[in-house]
Amino acid sequence: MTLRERVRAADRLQKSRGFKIGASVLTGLLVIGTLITWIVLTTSEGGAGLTLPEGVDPELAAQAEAQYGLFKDIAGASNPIVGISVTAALGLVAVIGVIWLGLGLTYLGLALAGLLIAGPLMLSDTGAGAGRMIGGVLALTMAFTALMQAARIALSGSRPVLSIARNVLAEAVRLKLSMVFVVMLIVLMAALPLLLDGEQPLRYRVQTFLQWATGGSFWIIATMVVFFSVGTVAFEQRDKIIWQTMTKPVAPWQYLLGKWLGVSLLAAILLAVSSSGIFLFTEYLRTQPATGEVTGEPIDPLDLTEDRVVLETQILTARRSVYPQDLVDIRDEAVDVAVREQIERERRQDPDYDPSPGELRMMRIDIVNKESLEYRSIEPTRDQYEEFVFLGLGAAKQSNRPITLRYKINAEGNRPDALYTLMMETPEGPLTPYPGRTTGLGFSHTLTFSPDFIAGDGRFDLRIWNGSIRMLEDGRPVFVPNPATITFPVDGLELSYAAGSYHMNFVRIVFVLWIKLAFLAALGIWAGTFLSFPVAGLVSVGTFLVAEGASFVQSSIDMFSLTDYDGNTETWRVIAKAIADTVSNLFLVYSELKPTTRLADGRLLSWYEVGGGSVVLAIAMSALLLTGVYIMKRRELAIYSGH
Amino acid sequence: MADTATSTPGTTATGTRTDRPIVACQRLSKVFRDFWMRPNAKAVDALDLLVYPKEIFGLLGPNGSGKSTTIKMILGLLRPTSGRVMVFNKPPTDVPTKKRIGYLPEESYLYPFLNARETLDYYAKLFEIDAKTRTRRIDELLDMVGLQHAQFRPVREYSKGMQRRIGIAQALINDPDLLILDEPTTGLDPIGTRQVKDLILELGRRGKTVILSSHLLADVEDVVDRMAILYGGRIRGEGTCDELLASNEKTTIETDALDEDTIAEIDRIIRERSGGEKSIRGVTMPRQKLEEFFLGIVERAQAERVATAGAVHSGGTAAFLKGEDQTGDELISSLLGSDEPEITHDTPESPITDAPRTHQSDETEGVIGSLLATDAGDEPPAPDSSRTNSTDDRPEAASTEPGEDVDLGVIGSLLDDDDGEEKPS
Repeated sequence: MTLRERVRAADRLQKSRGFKIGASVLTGLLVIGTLITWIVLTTSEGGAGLTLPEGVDPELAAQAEAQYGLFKDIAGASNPIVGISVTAALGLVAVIGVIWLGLGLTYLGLALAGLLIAGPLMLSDTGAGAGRMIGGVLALTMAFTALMQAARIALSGSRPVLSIARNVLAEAVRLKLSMVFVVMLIVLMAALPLLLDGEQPLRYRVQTFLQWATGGSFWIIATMVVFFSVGTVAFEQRDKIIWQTMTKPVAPWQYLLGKWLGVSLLAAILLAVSSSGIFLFTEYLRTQPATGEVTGEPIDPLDLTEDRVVLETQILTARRSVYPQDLVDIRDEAVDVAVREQIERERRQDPDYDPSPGELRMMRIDIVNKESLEYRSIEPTRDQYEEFVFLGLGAAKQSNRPITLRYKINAEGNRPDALYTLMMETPEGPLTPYPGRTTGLGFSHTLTFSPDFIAGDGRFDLRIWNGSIRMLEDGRPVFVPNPATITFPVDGLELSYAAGSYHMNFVRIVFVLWIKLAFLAALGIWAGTFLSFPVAGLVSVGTFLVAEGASFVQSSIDMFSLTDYDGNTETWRVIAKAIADTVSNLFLVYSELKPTTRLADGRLLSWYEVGGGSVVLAIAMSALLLTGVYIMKRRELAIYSGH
Repeated sequence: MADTATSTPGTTATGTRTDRPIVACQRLSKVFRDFWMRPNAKAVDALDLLVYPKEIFGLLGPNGSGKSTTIKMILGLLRPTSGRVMVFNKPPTDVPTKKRIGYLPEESYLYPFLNARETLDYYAKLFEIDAKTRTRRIDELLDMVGLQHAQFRPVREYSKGMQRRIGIAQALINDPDLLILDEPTTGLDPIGTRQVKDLILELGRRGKTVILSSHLLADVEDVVDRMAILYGGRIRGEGTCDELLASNEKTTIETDALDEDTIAEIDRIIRERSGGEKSIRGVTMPRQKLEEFFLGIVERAQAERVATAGAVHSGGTAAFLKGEDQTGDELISSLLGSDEPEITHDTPESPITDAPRTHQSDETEGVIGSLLATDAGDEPPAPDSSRTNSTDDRPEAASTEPGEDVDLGVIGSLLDDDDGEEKPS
């Protein structure tokens, strides 16, 4: 039997129903058996509990128990059993999917071949990185091809929309335009883990990976989607291929819907591949030792390191944040009073002083900034402390999950060798145990506490002392201030609480990324219906960039003046502001979703926000596609002016 | 050439058409404009045109005469500047009507990344043809256009002629009632040209309507019932070939070779009978036609199984285009292993003797086969290499099971093999 015949025989075997059933059962049993064995071995090692010495004050014991429960909650989040079980389940589904696509033996062969190439490299010191990268590329490629195969099966029906969509997928893997991006994505995803600095605290490694992997893959896929969606329509018109399609019983809406479906499905496949890689590698990172840990499994709650706590409470979570109430607003009457006072002071020096509107605006901004800075600064001897008010924490109290205070202080030019001690207290009691919390300057710290400190109406009052209490020898307490004034940056004081699970947040974020990609696909297809490839590409890329930056533009518009420094209104400023305002408003929902930033920051993207954003983007997509249909109906396809 | 145009179905004794035209153009004009909407060129000028059912209609004219523009307006690819077009009594943009139309543009504009089979599969799905019928038709069409052996090569690797052949196949995938062919023989070799002409005649016999646009007069003359000659966007002449070309001033008699005395004798008789007014004008020894000579060479080469990367000329018109769709009885008998399944012809128009186009009807049952039969003389019948690769001996995967039109191939599953057929070894 020749090699070709052997391959064909193997192919027939892997496509047979018997093989599929047998291989599925075998794989299922293998995975489940291994998982159960691993769980039994892991849990039989015994769980740590809180053991208090005898004779401890019951009140203190209760507090310790409460604190233990709080940290156990955090430690539980990093329990590898959950992560590995989820991973095993997803892996099992994927393997069974591959078997039922008739690719079981093919992929097994490829995996073995990859192991033979990458394995020896991984064992060597110099080639370990390359070995891992080859393995990653192979795994991602296999995932991509399997998903493409599944998509082709899903689109194999005899309907124009499905047929056109299937054709788009075929085009995607056979044209350089799209394959360049696919290869780039796979290589990036495989190479990115190698770029992480192993010396960094775990939380930074995870955050960096999430930020770069999610952001990088989204931008690569988005760029591909924009160019490919434009190309698939514009090139067909330029090359007159569309004549053959549109003289068949295909309505313009079917043609455009098919194109959109194909590109969106391609985007979904690429996103699924990259997201699976990101998710799995993040779960792997989660099991790595945090700073201060010997292994990646702490897991006695009392042994939790700050690195681990921050990772679990600030990054691998879905938290909602609350910031302290501003003391003043630029529109407050107090600011008017302050402005008048300042003008009067100036007039004492110069009776003719008559500030222009531009000067008045700058004056107001300066006053607000100054007030805000004063509010966020604590002078050690004169003020000694400042009170901050957080509102809207009712849900946090009800959730009964740990609350995290993240704070950052600046002082003395943030000398790296300087350590300050802070005391924090609430109406319910001190947050920081005696004698206070030692804090480095210029970087963030976290403090986790019970939701019991929040008042019933969701209000949380926090008093922060710039110093600490020391006991004198005679037993009298005395306040010891820090050497200099401390200042909290604008975002340097934040309360957050887990409002959902990291895993579900991840799913929502990936979904939002896909919605955005689907919108870009509609945009590109729309532009391709009436513009040549270069022009349509330019329009689509421009719109994409504007959409991504809409949130920033909106926040900047408030500071944009319509007048020059002398108070004269300038026409171009009015026009520029009107255009910027209109366009950025148009894409504000798109921009505000910020899925990548939210994922890296561990911030919640709620179903409500997902739903709202999806509805708005779906309406925008529909409008684009409907306009495209109208254009195609009006267009004479046999006339092409794009050359 | 069709010599019975006046007896076309739907015609009264006085030659007036009673049936409704399939294509009707009324005062049709098309003016191309530049970017500033200034008139640039008047491609079609107040054109009145009617094409009736079961008619093979030729659109003749030099380059730029408005043939392709007229066709594009009929297909809805261009909008008339003025006037009206109706196809099957509907506007050209009516989507359901397009199910009945097949179109071959002046060049084959195909997806370069698809192979021949995928191309036909794609277009067949646009017609919502079920998987089983699709597979059978694709096999028959690939066999007909001689590209079975090259069906898994991307179309971009095809020669112009091979692309043309796939273009023809895609135009026929829906077994159209109206076939519009714009310069169908462009890029085809003589065998392909002959095949296309035979195909048109075959379709005509089945009662299909064909609009053929060409500037190759011989191609048109051989097949059309009626024609219109365009120049400057207007019709300059219209009618049947007989009406336009018949000449009563000369008579041609073809005999076996004659010696000079016999010719002189014949001339003498003619002079006697005409009172000296008529005589033999010229005597020629006709050469073999170049087309026949060429076809003979190719057939001999095929008989010797000389390898070619190009199209292989099987010549057999696809069964479904001849109205020979497989019936239930045939299917059962084939499943039962009958050696000679009884084939049922369920199309009333198919009997060759009933066809109005009589003069070529006897020689079109299999182009190459008929050529061999015609030329046979001293040559032994040439085995048709492509036929041996046809229906009964196709690659295994080509005979797709119902509903299994999806790629599940081994290496092919990785990216490049879209439809799962095994690559020919």
